[in-house]
Amino acid sequence: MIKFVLNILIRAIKVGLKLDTQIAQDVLCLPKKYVIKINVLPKNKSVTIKLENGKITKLKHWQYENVDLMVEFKDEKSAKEVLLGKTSLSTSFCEHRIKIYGSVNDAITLTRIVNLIECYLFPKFIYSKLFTPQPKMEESKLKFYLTFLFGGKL
Amino acid sequence: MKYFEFTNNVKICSGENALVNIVFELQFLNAFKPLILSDAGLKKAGTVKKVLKILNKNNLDVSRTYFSIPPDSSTSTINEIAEFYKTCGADSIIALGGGSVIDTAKGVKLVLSQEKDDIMTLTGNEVINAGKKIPFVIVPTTCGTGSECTTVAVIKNDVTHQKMEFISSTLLPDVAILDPMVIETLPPKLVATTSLDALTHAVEAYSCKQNNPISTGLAITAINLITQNLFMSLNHPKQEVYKLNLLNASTLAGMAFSNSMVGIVHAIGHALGRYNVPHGNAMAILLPACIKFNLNVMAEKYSELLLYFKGPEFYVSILEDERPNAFYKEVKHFVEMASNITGFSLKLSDYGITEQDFSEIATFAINDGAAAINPKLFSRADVIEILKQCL
Ligand SMILES: [Fe+2]
Repeated sequence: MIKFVLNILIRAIKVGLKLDTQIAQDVLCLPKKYVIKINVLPKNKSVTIKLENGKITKLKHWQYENVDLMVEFKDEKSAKEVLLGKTSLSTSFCEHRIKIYGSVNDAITLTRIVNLIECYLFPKFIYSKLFTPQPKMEESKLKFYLTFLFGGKL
Repeated sequence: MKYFEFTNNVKICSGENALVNIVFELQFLNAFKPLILSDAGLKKAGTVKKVLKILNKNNLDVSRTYFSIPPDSSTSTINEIAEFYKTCGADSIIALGGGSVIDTAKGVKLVLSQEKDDIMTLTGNEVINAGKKIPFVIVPTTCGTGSECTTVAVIKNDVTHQKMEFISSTLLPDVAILDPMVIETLPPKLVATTSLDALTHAVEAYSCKQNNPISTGLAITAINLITQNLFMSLNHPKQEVYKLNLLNASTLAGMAFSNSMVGIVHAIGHALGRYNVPHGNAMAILLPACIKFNLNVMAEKYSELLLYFKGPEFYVSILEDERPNAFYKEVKHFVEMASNITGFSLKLSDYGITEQDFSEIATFAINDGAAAINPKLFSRADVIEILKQCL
């Protein structure tokens, strides 16, 4: 379940990068060649992505040696709450549910990207409780979902 | 917030002659050969000499020293001092100074306790285990950073020039010594700006997303102490009691924000630090403007803060709906009074900031660790608007 939702999040970030210039701008804040891992303890369920030339590629575990930034949830329940829109990544950070290996500043950039993605993914009655004020989406949710479902390999 | 954690295991020795306790405290920690860290400014001001004399008189070996810590704690300085610690045979650390000396000392302790050679291998948030015991005493020499009781160190990466945040409870010292003697020669401007930094810590700790009941209590006491003692201290600089109260306030606010974290004022303030705007001055300039920015989301908290900031009589004299805005106005007035008395500027342009710098400052600010904790999300455009008001 966790792995499945993590994969949805990664695809959603790819769609967001294609459609919303705010995400592209945030990606520019990160170093040019960058490996990010999101890991969930205790069973180490994870996804790893590489940012390179403004593009996101998902990596298999044999495709990388070093991770530049790892956001690690201390337990599965906390990860589910964020991934299912019950709480925001920054609230989870405030509640010490997350460990960050690497630059805290880069983790904040990632948090902002995930905030916006959650607005695209979830209905307003969910995301309006998570953020004050709500981040502004540049694209319609419909276009986001159509690209998510039928956008092919992004 | 549904869950909170509060960490503070620092013994605090506060008051007259607190310094002499260092010897006992180190012995208690089985340490006899401290490496004493400070900076050139404190050496020149005579503070280092005064402290060494007291420690020496109390039979502490004070032969291991490093007094060349730069104004910005940096990775290379930390690695160099950690190496020096190993070769000089020290068994503990005493940090005597303000924010940069303390953050440097925390970095040194981190490298040594984790038995590493490079601080950059230890970046992150809550990723470090307790490690090897390195007895650690901090003597703050300003009344603002509160760093003697925080789990955070901000250290400049010499290669990328980025300010890196290290967050771990292992950064806390064993003992904090608050002795008004070490700040008796602190210039009034610095008393004012560092106290306003502490006030900002208290206000942000009270109102930010990571706020919790313990931090709330500490923040309220800190606010009371600052409002009651800052102007008394500036008007009666020879009376130690006011400065001691400000030192206590700084430590309390430090404990509070270490567990509540800080928000937009610090996010922008850290970014301005890259442009050499002194931290306390940046806080004084930004605090009113950022309260105004947060006002619509924080009305309830700011209304409560008015009570602690101005007292019950003033509080009840203001209509309920007007209290949040009254808090903003009173903080602005308080900061302006401090600026008028001591003569520091409240205009960013007087610190060399121009409109051309805004875009870069805003980018740094929205990526700062404190940005995630502010109760109201903010964008680059919001930061630029605040900077315009402060120019
Ligand atoms: Fe501060």
